[in-house]
Amino acid sequence: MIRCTLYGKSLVLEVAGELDLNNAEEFRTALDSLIDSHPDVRQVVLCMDQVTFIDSSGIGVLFGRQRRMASRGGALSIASPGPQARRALDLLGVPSIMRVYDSREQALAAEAEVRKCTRK
Amino acid sequence: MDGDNNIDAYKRVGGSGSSRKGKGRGKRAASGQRQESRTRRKQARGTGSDRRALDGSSGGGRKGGSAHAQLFGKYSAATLWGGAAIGFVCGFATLFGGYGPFGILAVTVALFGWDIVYAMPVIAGALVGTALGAGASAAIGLAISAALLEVIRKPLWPHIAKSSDGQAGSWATGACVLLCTFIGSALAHEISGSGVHVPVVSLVEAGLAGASAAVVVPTVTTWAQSGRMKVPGRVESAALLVMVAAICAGLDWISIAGVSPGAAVGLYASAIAGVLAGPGAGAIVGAALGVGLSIASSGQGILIGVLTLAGAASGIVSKHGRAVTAFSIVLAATFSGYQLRTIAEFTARMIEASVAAIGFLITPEWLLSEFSWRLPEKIGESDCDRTRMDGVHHLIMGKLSMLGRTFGELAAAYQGGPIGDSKDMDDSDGGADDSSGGRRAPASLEASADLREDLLPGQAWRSDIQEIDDPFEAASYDSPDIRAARAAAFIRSQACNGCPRYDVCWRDMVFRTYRDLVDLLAAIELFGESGTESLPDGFKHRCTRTERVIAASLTATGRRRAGATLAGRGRLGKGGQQGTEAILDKSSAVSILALQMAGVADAISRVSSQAQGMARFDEEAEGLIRRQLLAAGIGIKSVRVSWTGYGGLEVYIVKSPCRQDGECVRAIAPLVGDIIGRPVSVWQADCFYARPEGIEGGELDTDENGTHRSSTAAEIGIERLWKLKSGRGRPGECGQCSVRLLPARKYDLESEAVTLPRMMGETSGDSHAVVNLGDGRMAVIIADGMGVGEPASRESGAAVAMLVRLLEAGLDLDFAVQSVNAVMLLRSEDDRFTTVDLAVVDLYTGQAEMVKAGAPPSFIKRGHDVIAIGDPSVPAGVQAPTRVMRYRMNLEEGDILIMVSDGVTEAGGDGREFGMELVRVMERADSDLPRNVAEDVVEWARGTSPGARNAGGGGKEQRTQAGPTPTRQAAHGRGRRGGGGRDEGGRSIESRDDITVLAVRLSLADARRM
Repeated sequence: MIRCTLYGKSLVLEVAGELDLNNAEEFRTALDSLIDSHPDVRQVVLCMDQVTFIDSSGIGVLFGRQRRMASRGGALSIASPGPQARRALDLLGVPSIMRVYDSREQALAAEAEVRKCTRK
Repeated sequence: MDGDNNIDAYKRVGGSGSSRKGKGRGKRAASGQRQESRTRRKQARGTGSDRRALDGSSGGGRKGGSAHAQLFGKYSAATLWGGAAIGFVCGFATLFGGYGPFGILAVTVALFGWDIVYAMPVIAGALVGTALGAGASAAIGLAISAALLEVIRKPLWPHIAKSSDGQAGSWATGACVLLCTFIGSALAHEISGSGVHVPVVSLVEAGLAGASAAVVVPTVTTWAQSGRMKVPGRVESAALLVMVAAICAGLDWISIAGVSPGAAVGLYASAIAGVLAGPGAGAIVGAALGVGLSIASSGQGILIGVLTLAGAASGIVSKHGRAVTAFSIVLAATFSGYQLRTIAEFTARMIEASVAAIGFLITPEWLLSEFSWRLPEKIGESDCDRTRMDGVHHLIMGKLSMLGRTFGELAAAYQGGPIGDSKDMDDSDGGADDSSGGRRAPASLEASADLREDLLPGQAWRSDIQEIDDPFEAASYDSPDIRAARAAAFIRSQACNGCPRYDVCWRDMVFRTYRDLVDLLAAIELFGESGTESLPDGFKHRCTRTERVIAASLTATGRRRAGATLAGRGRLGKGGQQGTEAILDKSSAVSILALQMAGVADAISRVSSQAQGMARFDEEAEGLIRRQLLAAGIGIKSVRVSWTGYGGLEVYIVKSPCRQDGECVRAIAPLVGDIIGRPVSVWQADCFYARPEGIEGGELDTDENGTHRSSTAAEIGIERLWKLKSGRGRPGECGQCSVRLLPARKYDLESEAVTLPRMMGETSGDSHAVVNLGDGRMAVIIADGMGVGEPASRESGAAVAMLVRLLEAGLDLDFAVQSVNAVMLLRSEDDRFTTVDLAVVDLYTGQAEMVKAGAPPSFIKRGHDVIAIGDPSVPAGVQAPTRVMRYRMNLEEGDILIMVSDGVTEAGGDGREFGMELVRVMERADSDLPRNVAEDVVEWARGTSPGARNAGGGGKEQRTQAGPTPTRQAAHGRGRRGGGGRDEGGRSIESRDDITVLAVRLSLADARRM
């Protein structure tokens, strides 16, 4: 399940569960759909505090979305990853590609406008 | 130190001798000309006693022989006699009937070139020869001059030795000789009362002697010090000429029934020069010797023509064999007949020519080979030089050829073509669209076909176009027309499909629509206009999906920029979301281009430095090896030692055929190893009598052990060069053996790879390889394609294949990984990335270099201690340039390097701290066998994975094992290609990811190869 919140031109996505090979394709499709449906969004924040496991397939999805956001002049960032996710992200050098924040608030500190929408 | 010891020995031994000589000199000085003959006899006796004293092994001096043997044991009697003879001949030679510069020249050479013991017989011989040829006063002058030279030699020698390579040494020597000769000659003439013209005569004689010494002494000194003759330059050639001329002039005075030995020697030397260095050089040598002989014999100018003709003729006919060459000497002499006054003179000349011809015929082949190896040849290069140049040439050619192929493949990979070795891609055709149709051209064709389908829908159109010449095929892939057409096709597919007015726009008004879209794209590109107001008026009224068209146009424009920068991805225009966004920003594109330029520059620099190293040969080592092998009874034709290549040394020996199969080869390596001071092994040994078969096919022979073959293009080039040389070669070279020696590697590498797919029956997404790079290094690679199954396997396999190719071309590790990253970035589908874990182990030093791109840590197990090496890094295909981590460390014998895929590190993915547990597993493993370590790690990972814990079962484990190097490609697999799969239960384990463990152990190299 992905919970989506729009803060101005920032899209906050709250992800829960495991992000591994078994659901990587589903995860990718969902993210693409959300990104495509918000063409004006320049920043996507992925809140991962509810992610219990992520492997290289899940991280590959993140790399791909980061690339897509970069192509439109935006960025994908990670917020509040759990211990396992943090370790996996570090191992694959994710912090050198995209910003990893300790909390969602920290990630959205620069954003002022708030608008919410929900997607299941 | 040697020189000092010898001088001391001379002092100890020379006491009695000098006293005898002192007596003789006193008598000669007192009694004048009439006592000359008696003096000569006394001197001869003195010389004889000296000879007996020096030759401790000969009869008369047997009682005291042991003492003399202790002092002079290293001096051979033949050498001493030879020195005396040369001294005699040189002393006997006079110019213009009175000047004798060659006696003091011989003495100078002996004193400066050898030690005093060798100089003694030369001095004695020169004194006798001078006394007989030029008279007693000249002998007195020579004695004084020799004494003065010996006095000033010790203080002067260090300065001359320091500058002996330069002009200063030459002129210092010449000046010393001139001074000493002048003083000695003047004193002698003053003693003998020769008159007022004495200073003039002395000065002329001294000048001749000084000039000769300036040329000859430094050359001979260098030869004596190095123990070998250098490849002659102008000075060395002149020195040789002066020496031969001196001998000829000296011998010319010995006339037996009108026959002059000097003329015979001159003819012989001219013929040799002609054969070895060509007709021009033969003529020059003949003319020079003829002038010398004419001056010495006061008027026989005909000798100049005869010797010149003999030298030139010998050079011309030398290709036709020795007999013809010998006959040409006699023939040249006959042409002098019409200028000779009597038949006796003609007969004498013919006898001289016949003696020279016989001498030429009986000259051993090895002696000619010894000279031909060094002397300039017809084209200005010696055999030695040509061989070296050939080696350098082929080294460069081979390297550049390999680099060219590699960069060509890299360029093709950037455009979407298959990467890596085709043999490594042979089993990837299932889903590898990119490899289905070749490289660049098929990619373009595929894109063009897609474009046609998009622009001109309908099967009839499509089939028609396929049958005629494709207009897009000939066009540039990046031309504006193609880009515009591609963008229009994209807009049509994105915005117009399903539109009720589709037929109006794309059938009835297709050209108008196309033109309007091109105008729209131009407006966006030039002015950034992106609203509906930028649409052409007619199009606005006609189109009902203007917003979609605008959005698609913006996307297409972005894609066009990326495509224009990087020549496209080769898979454009599929119509989906994929590939429609700019895949690279400008900074990434610039970094990739900069990387490639840096890679090319680095590759060229490496080739250049290697070629320079190849050109720096060690002549001293070559001389040592040559002499030692000759002394061991091994017929050596050429030796080439270059301090470059693999392990920093390469020795190439061309020798006579082995008497028994391989006997000489086995004997050569230990001998050369002793001389070089480090163990060497035979990497190549070719003995053949004709052009071997299989050269064109590129097949490589095995070496004597049947285990190794050179692998790089440069090596192949060198091998082929030698084979071709000998195949074509001169008749005398057939049957030779060429032996290539390289430093024996210290280590071998044993490897064991265990791959476990995520599910039984599924293709592992991991690929691995253990590859001998052919330069004493082994590459150990694991690549993990993100995801599992065939797509991941395809990505990781391509990465491994490309890495291998780049590393085999000698490119830097960083460059190789960054290039793989750039290609992956350009070609990979969406979010498919590949981790790269690369270790290159130098088998000479044990040094390991590791580069990681998104790979988990590697482990080094030394005994029961395990350390982890690794830091976070980014996988290949994410960004350019990518962030890789590079490590270097020295491995020791018995160390096991364990590389794992992230299936291992993610096995404990439920949050447990797996690192220490994994290290403990490795620590507990049998330290001697990489197989045990690899299997233990896989077992642990399998047992730790959540699926295994639930199911408690095993999977299908595939292993690839490699024996000790140097097999060229020890192991290379992608999991499913592993050799000898083993089913341990056959149950699905549902692990999170594919598991690959690659363990390599460093062991001491096989003793046979040392």
